[in-house]
Formats: sequence, structure tokens, C-alpha cells
Amino acid sequence: MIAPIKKITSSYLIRAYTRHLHKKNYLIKHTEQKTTHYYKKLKPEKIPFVSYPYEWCFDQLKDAAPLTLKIQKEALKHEMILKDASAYNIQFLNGKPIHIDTLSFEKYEQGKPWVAYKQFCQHFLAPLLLMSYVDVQLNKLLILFIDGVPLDTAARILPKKCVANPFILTHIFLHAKSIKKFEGTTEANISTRTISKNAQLGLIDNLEKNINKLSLKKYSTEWESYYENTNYSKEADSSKVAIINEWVEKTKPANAWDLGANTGKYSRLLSNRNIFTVSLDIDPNAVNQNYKISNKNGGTHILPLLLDLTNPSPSIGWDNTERLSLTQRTKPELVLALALIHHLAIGNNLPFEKLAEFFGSITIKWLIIEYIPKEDSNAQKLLANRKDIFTDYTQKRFETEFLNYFKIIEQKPINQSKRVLYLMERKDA
Amino acid sequence: MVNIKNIGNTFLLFSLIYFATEQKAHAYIDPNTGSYLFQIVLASLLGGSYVFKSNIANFFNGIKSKVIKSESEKTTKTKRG
Repeated sequence: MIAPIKKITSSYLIRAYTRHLHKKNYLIKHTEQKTTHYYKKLKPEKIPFVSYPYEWCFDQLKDAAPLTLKIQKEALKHEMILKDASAYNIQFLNGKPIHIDTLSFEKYEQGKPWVAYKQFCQHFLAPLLLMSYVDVQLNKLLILFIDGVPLDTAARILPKKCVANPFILTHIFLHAKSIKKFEGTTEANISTRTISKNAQLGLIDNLEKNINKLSLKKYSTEWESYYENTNYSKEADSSKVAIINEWVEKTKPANAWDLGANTGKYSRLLSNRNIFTVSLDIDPNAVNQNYKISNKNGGTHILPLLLDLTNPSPSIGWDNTERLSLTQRTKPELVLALALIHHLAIGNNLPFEKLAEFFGSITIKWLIIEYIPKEDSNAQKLLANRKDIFTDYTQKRFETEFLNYFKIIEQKPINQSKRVLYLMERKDA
Repeated sequence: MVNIKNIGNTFLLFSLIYFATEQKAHAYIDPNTGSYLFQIVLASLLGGSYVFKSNIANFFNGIKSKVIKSESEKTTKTKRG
């Protein structure tokens, strides 16, 4: 994306500081383009897949927050300042958070407070505290609140014991009270009192230190230990891995989505081959584990994200075009849908007709999908407490519906399992 | 038992008294009056502790680098000897 910009004041300072941030991998690199109409024209390095903070697991948001603060600290040392602190200024590149808005900087005016402090608290601190102290899924509030979770809302949701924590008391509770106290002011009446740079740095340091101490409450989620409790034998698992490896070699996709990826076991079959893979799952603990494993292994070609396939991220913001829905973003050449179809069809009452249409719309070319028959023990669990109304849930019907959108290139049964893997190619690819 | 609501109100009252003069602010995003005032008070309190901790850290870093330098000089003299 090319970002034409008009004259920037203190351009020398900004250029020097952005070069400094590039070296630290804090800020996205860009190239300067020729222009006669504008002061400068910058083309940033492309992000392979744009994601949003409501799709990030806890540790991703927790890594994004201190990055913003580090940039702000470095900015102050270079007589610069961040003029905003939006979580949407952070993306993930090569497995790590990176700031993408080169135009976020302006020259620091001595004594002027940080105008983006409230925005930082709403975009980063409030969601992190809600995820840590209340429920790990509460980052989804960021879908409802385009400019971050309002601090008074966060204060009402957080448990009362948080008031005893000086960090939360100040940055959330008292901060919210102050905002409420002065709301309705007709002018931006702000004191001429200045604060020193050291005071600013003290505020940033306080935020950074305490955010780094945050952690998730230990409670289990439905799918976090899936791979410890699957119904695959060792032989079945090896068979599945071998088939997928063979088909990945055959299709050679440039990028992929792994739907229902859990902790990313099969995503890494691709990402370890340097195939950029978006590794999506509904379970927040599973995605968090996936992210931690990727970080530990230095994974640069995998992006774990939260996704509820039955209710994926919508388009939001002004005119519903500021933040794109999942299906409006860069589509992959390969989609993996392993151990998934029975959850969608039986668990969520979605007919094969609808599923085939959906998969046909999200992949550019390839689909590797696992058919799980009703007799499979995990499918039986889904039917354990309900009437079996799924008369159309058969392998024949599955193939018929998917053949409306795909050609079946190969199908292979998984050894020691009733499941079948399919390699499909979009008909109009 | 300490009444947290009273502490909060007292804090805000002192902030209001302390910052009596007014000036318009211009910014890329709306900093919000209440947030701006709160930040000024909070940062002023945190700044002192930050400077103190930085000075302590610098002091010990200074000692550490002197020790390392002295060890390195000793090693050099031993080799020449």
C-alpha cells in the first residue's frame, strides 16, 4: 500500500528516528517513491495477513502493548512522540508484533503530556486486564468498541478486588473517574502545567513493567488439550501427517489457512517449509499455546489467530469498511480443514451445501479436508445428547456437494481410522 | 476501613485546585480533558520514582563497568608479566 503524505514538519528528526526503529525491527520498513505532488511518498513492506486485536490471543496483545510503549520511550529520547496509540497500528510480521504506522510520529513539545495515553489504556490495558482478571474472551469487546474498551466500562466489569491493585486503581478506576468528572466540557480546557520528560518516562515505565507482569488465570478451555486426548492411534497420526506432507509437496502453495488449527500441529507442517500459514482456532488457550510454541521455535511463517468459524470477524468501523471481515482479507492458496467438518455439520447444524460454498469462496486453489464419518468416536460424542437428525451427513452427500465447487484430485483413508482425507482443487482456479 | 471513593474524590479535588489555569489543546486525537489532567498528576508522581530508580541503576552500572575494566587491566598486566 502506498501512503502519500504531505509536508512533515521536523522531517529530519522523523527520518532519523524511523531509521533507528527499523534497525530494532520495531517499525515496518518502507521505500520512498518518486512524487511531484507530495512532499514524500512511502511504500511500506507488505504484511502477508492483516489481523486485528480482537483476533489476537492474550500473549499477542500483551506483546503488542509494550512494543507501543518501547516506541514511545525511544521516541521521547529522540525528541519525538507518538501522536496515537491504537492497537490497529500493530501487526504481526515474521511472528512478532511490529508498528506499521510510520506517520504516527511528531516532534515532542517540551512539557506536553502524551495525548495518546487514554487511547493506549482503552486499546491495550483495559482488554488485557479484562482477559486476565475476568474472562480470556473479553478482547472481543474490541469488536463493539472501535476505539478500545471505554475505561468506565472496564471499571464496571473488573472485579472489586482490582481496586486494591495500585496499578489498576490508577490507570483504570481513577482514570475513568477523572474522565467522567470532566466530561461535557465545551472547550478543550487543559492546564498549562507541563510535565517533565522524566515524568512521562515514569508513566510509560510504570505501564510497561506492570503489563509485563500480567498473566492469564489458570482455567481450562474445551480444546486446549485436544492433541493429548485425540482418538488417533500413533499409526493413524503418522498416516495423516504423511498424507498431508505428500500433498503439500504436490501443491506447493505460497500461503495457507489452517482452520480449527488448535495448537498448530499441522500448521507447522507448512510453516516449517516457509509456507506462510494463518493458524486459526476458536479456543483462546489453544491459540495462546500455539503462539508460545511458535515464539519458542522462532516460527516466522505462522500467525496464530482466534476465529469462530460460525461467527467470524465482521467488517466494522466507519461504513463497515475500516476493519475487514475475515473473508475480505488476503485469501490463501491452500486451506486445511482437518478434524473440523463434523463440528460444523453436526455440532453447528450446517449442511454440506453451505460448507462447500464457504470453502469454495475462501481458497484460491487448494483444499485439504478431512471427512469424519458418523461412526467415528468423536462424531458420536457430538450426537451423544441429541437426536440424530443428520440424515444427509454421509460421505456420498459430502462429495456431491463439494463437487459443485471442487474437483477431487485424491482421497486417502487414514490408517487405523475411519476418517478420509481429500485433496480438492477449485473448479475455476 | 479506607473508603476508596473518598480517596478518589480527594485526589481529583487536589488535581482541580492544582491545575487552575486553562489552555486549549490541539492534537491528532482527542486526549480528553479528564484524562489529560489525570495524566499530569499521575506522571508527576511516577516521574520521581523513575528518576530515583534510573539513578540507582546508573550507579550500579557504573560500579559494574569499573569492576570489569579493572579485571580486564589486571588480566593484561598478568599476561605481560
